[in-house]
Amino acid sequence: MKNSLVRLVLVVVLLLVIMNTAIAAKKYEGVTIKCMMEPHPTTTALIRLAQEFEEETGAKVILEEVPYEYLPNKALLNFVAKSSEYDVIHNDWLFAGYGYATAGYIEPLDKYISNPALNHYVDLADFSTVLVDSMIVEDQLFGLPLYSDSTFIMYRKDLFEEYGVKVPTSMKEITEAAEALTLDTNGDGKIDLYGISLRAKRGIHMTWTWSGFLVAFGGRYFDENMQPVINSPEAIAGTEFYVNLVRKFCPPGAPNYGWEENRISFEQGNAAFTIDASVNAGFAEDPQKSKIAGKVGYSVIPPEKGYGINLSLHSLFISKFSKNKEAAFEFISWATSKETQLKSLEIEPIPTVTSMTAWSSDIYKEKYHVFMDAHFESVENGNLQYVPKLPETSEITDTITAYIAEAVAGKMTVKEALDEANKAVYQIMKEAGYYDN
Amino acid sequence: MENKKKKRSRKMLLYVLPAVLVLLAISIYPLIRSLILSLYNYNLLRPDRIRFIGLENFGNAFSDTNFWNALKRTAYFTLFGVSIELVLGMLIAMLLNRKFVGKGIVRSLMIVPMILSPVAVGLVWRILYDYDAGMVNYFLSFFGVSQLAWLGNQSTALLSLIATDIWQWTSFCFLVCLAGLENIPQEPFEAARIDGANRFQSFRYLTLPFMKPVLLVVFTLRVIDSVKMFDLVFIMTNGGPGRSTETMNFFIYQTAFKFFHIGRASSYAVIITILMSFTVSLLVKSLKKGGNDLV
Repeated sequence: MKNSLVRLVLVVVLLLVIMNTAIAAKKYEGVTIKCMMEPHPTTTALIRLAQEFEEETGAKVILEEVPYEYLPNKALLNFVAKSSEYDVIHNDWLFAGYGYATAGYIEPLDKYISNPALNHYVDLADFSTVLVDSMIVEDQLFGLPLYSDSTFIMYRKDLFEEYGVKVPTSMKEITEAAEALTLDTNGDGKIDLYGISLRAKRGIHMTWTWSGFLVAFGGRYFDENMQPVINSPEAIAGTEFYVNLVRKFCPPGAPNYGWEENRISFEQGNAAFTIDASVNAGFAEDPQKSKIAGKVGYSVIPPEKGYGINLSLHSLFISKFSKNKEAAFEFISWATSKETQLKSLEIEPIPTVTSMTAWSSDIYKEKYHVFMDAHFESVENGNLQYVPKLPETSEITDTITAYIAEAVAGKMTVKEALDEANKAVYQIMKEAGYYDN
Repeated sequence: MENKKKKRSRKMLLYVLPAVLVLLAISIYPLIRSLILSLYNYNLLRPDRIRFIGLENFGNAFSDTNFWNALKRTAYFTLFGVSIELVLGMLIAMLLNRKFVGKGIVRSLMIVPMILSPVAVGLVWRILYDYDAGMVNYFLSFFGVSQLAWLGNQSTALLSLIATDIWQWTSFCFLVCLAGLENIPQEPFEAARIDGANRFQSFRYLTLPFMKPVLLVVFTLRVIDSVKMFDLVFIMTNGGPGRSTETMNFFIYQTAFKFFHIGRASSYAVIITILMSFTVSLLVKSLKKGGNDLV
């Protein structure tokens, strides 16, 4: 009896030892991968799923959310200090990542992707080529796409029907619909339903919305010689269209609307339709948070001279100063893999996954069938270059939108604003050394 | 004798050394460093173009309308806000400078806004100013004032920030003024009353001169604080709409941490530091005079 007890204890101890060595044998035991992440449903999903990666590799993953507007400055200060604190940075490619790449702050990924010992997940063919190609700088790939938004029209089916307005199929009809639906519904002399809700907060937010109209009307930022042409007749037409909508048919708080404010304004029923990122559709359809779930229709933004649909690209990058680059690579390739994206899709509202496999999955159809057609059509016609791809993008767009805000406030005409903006952009470019030779 | 003195001074040096070291590390070094940086073209996104450019940053600053406008906004915010705070604080202090039941409680309640964190104040006021859900519009509707997007309108945004600042800091002015009022000797007032001075006269010729040094101290402190103000702008409007609430400090922050022109931002900071040192030294000088007048 006693003997068998001793034997049992021995076996248990032996088992424990074996298990322990098995755990110790995991590839990245003791390695910590620290990531600076944008607050986004995708990040929330990764936080919930990271345990799987940790169990598989033994690495510990810390996903730290940093408010979107302050993330680039935190990241840059880390880079400049050559700090190895963060291994992975999650950021917008056009607004931030490209600048990191040209300044030499982030690691090219090609040598990791071509190394079969490290690359278990990356299948570049699973991403849309536009996204991958954009992140190639001087023949090197600098990031893996985590999510990509596009813009489309989200409209209140019930209101459009009630007031007999048809879903806009041209730019002119957007204005007409916005005008027809800016209403005093209860007859107290005050407008309580606004036709359209748009972001108009200076900086990245206004840029996201306004640039769609700029592009649709044929405007652009620079000509072939990198001279700014933001006051061209086309650009003025597009900007006038946008300013007119904001001034006349948007809720009065719109000049301070960023992503969240605009999303909430629409979800609260303040406006009959909005043009914004497709990720908002996931929120709008959530019956627990949204007042308008099930009442929203989706359509592609109609073209004017061309389509003015923006595509954003938010990717994962590896810091040049990371001490665990290999582990970091395995993590970002896991995080952007088909498998992980499919799982993320199940647990969070992410219609903006970048994996084509996830797009065509049943779970995507089940969750997002109401807007997936509009979303896919938008992505197909979407334009990644809604802002210039330069390290100075953030400064350039902030400067332009600050002038447009003056036009929104009625202190300048659109033409005056864009003339000033054009001068200011020229100055920025000159100081950055684009016209040196 | 000589030796002893030397020893003594060496000993004294040892005692002040920690303070000097701390000062060097957290105040003198950054100051010198920002002075140096202000002479460079230093953009974090363009590490290849970092170079010495002399006083170019300063020249550019003075020809930059955005710089001047930011400076004007800061001056407007400071003068407008601080003078109202001072007047209100003084009036409330005079109102409460008497014996009544519950004075202690009233005084404690008055200082609540002051002890709140500016970030919390900013967040709360952002909700109060909200177009649809805000209390400000709700209460104003009783007086027939139509709804306004206080922070979403270029002409009201800065005023709304000033109002919040006044709400928060009037209590500070009140507190210091009350302490000053309580320390004024009563005899001159009695004499004045016997001589037939009315209330306004005794305020004009007695209270005010007695309070002058106190008011100057409050004014100086509030001016310094107000010029430094950053949190309210950051939380409530982020400089917007447009540039309408882009005060100097926010402008510097934006230049340094949004566009990463560290050199240029340093030059702005140097300019504002010089301006502030000048203003404050003027105030302190008149404070000294004011004190001498009285004693």
